[in-house]
Amino acid sequence: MNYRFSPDDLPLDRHAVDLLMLSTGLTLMPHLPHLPLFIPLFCAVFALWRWMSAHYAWALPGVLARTLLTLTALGGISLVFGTILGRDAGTSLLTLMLGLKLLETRCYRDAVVVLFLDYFLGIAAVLYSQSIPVLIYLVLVLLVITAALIELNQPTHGHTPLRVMLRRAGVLMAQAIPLALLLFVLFPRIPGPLWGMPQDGGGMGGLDDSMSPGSITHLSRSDAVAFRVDFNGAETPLPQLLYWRGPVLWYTDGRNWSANRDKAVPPPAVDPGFTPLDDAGLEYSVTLEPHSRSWLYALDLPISVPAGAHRTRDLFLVADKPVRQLTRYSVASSLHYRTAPLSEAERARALQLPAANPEAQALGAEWRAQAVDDTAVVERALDYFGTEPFYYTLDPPPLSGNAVDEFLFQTRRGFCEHYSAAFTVLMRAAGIPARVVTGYQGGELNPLDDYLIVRQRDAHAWSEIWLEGRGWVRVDPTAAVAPQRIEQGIDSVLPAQQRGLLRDFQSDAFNALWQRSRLAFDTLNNRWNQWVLAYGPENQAAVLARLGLHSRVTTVLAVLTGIVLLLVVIGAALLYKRRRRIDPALRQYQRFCAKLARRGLVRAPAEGPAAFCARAEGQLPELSDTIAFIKHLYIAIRYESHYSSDQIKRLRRAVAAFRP
Amino acid sequence: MHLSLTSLPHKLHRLLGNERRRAGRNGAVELRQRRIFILPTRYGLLFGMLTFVMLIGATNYNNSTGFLLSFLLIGTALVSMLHAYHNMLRLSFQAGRAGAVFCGEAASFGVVISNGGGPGRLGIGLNLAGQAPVFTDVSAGGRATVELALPTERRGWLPIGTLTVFTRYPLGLFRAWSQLRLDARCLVYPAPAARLDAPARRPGGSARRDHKPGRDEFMGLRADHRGDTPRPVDGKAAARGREMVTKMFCDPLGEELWLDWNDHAAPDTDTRLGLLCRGVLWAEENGYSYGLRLPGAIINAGRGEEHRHRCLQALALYGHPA
Repeated sequence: MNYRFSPDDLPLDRHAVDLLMLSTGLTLMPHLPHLPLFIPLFCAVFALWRWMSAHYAWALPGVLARTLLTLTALGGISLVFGTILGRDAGTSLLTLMLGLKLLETRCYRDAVVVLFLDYFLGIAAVLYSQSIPVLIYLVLVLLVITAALIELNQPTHGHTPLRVMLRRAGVLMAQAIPLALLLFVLFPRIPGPLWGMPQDGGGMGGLDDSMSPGSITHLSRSDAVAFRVDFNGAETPLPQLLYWRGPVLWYTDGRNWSANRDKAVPPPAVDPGFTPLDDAGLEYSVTLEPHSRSWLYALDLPISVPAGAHRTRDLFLVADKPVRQLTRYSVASSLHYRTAPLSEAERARALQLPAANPEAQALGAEWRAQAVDDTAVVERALDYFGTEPFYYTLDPPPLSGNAVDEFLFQTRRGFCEHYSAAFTVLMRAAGIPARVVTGYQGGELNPLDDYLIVRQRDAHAWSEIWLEGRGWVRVDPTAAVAPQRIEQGIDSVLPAQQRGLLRDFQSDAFNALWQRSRLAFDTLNNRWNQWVLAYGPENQAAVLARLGLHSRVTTVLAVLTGIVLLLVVIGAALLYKRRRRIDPALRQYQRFCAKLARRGLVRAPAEGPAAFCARAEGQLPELSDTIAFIKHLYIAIRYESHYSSDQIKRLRRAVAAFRP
Repeated sequence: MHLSLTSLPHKLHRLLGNERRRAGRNGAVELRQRRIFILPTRYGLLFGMLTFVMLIGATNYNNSTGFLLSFLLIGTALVSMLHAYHNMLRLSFQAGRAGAVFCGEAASFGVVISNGGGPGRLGIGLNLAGQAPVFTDVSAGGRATVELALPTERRGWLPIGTLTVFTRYPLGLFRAWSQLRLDARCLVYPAPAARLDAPARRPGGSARRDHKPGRDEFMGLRADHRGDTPRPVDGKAAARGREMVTKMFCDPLGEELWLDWNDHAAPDTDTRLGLLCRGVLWAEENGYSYGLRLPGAIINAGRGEEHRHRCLQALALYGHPA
């Protein structure tokens, strides 16, 4: 079948229109949850209109109608978003443009533009989620779009079955994978953002830099991963040492705790330093999920500070920018340390108490009066929590006005934030400088890949008190009430359905299997996070340095060389595949010649098959029939445009049976 | 493996140096590595801009998955360049016989494409200089034939000219092409004059007014026979005409009709040839045995398809070196 046309003006047939619909529909799917409803609706109407036009010859709208539709769409978007820039408005705009383009698609040229927009919108979905399932879906979408593009560029097409189209696209994209990996690793990355700070994207949940009764309890219901820790082969510290320090809270109004009394004025970022008491710091890498806050979690006191971050006066790490993307950093921590002396201003801050909670203040003062030293007060307090009927629960009763008093003397049921707040208030009342520290405690060791998973439900709050001669010392009052929380992790105190176990299956074997597959999936996610998502300019610099690519110029040269080499290899593979199709015949002919050579009939270098066979027939008249048969078959295969695998088979059999 | 992008200047030089793609055995030309060129199409350039914007976006949001997928697309585009190239490689082209046409009609060259090896080829486009392309597929180990039309403007031999073979398959981002000179030509007969008495209809052709008996009379008689499609003629008139022609042109030896260059007083060669061409067609159509007398060439009387061709060929090539 031959068709004549100027290729770009080829009108689209129904098949092509259907393919455009399919590609666009699949592209839009991951965007549906976050687009304002009217946008996919508009798009669907446009697509339906175009489809009816292709299948039932509906008239398409004219230029005026299209212009009006475009202006309405633009107006709608700027009304909803207040802008047409940025991630959300941008994807909405792109979606509407795609719908409108679909509506006016008449020829090859338009169809290519639609597919290009599909590519763009499809890839824009990664701004909303970078998970493995989304990536797999998007690769499939790119495959379908590519298949549609291939079909469009085959002007003589009939209706290629979808399976064949997808296979062609699959071959193309599979061969592109090495190139994509090369570019991913080596292509020089520039640290973003390039314009403005992308306010959108990244991170939800996680700890705040304030605490009130119930705020951490709320997190205990979340199964989401906060961060993962790789101890680089070193032994994981004991659970009771796994305190991941986050924001330090100094101020309280008797109920709520915060890092700053006045949030607008941050405390001066002077790092007082500290003296590590252990020989060597513990080194590990943290892959932190985006949480839209700038602090980075580390075990107790970080000795080293990762690039792009600093250590605050409260000795926790803060990044220069809020963590909106998965971030991987290496850090070394000291688990035994002595902090610097306390300044007067700090002592005042660490003793600050509002007028609230009079009973608690009285209790603290009483302990102070009866104790010989600070340590005795601390022991008295922990003993109090341990022996009085206090309960550790995920469902603490709500507290009103004097929250600490109410908790200590009435409800006595609370979660870690209740205990740490009450303990800190008691200490301050007893004249011991104290503060609340929030962060995570513990974590689940993934034995499959030897790393620690810290989830949101591992969020924790504890206290630090300042003791003369020892500096800041961690005291965890929760441990006095529920030691298993600290030693065995949060799971030991959670009801089964919150541990990620299946509610309806109580069988242990099944739960073990379920647990293992969850860990396996998490292993995959962890690898993905470390190797792909966290691969940014900083990690790339390290990789490039290890490869000996120190300047940008050499890197670019290496990228180009790599691309050319890969293309040469792929091209050679294509040629080789093609050669193999012909070679079987040649191989058989060479076997045939070798057999004749043993009878003394040697083919001259320039002797073609016809001449050589004629000579052989003359010398071996008794075999002339076989020789002629082989000659005809061989010449047919090698020199005529048509041959079948059956001919090759017959040639092989004839040569095998040939005994001169 | 020879990628044309890297050695493009060299190749363009060779191309502009008009290196002849000479036909090999059987007049077939096979596309080998050095004959195929590749450049991005405007869609390829658009695609390049698009992926560039994707990379900018991925940088701004520091989005690794965005980088990964953008690079996958870039890789796919680069691989599609190889596929476009391999879609052309080792195709061979052979022009078949092109039937003679009258000047003004389109010459039709049949080109046979053979797939010498490798998988089936899709979306192979062929076009002759200035003509719209024709697309075809060539199955694995198979052949395809396409008819390429070329308008004719002059009588004589019309060479097929430069044949451009190209493909944009698979993605339309790159165009691989090659230019071939196949060994094929088409004989173009002169355009037959509209009517046999064309000279009389010349503006200011009053010279032919003086009515003489003889050949002019014959010409006048047939003046109403237009075009070269036979149509029903009034039987009596036809019979009378034939009788008259027989009477006036019968040479002493018998029923032979002679078409003579000197019978026509037209000032330019092509008009004369057009009139003679019309004469040949008329004579053949009406079953005469006819001969042709040209300066320096005489074709003895005869009839039939082959004779007609010989006469028309003589007219087509009149004044051309063989």
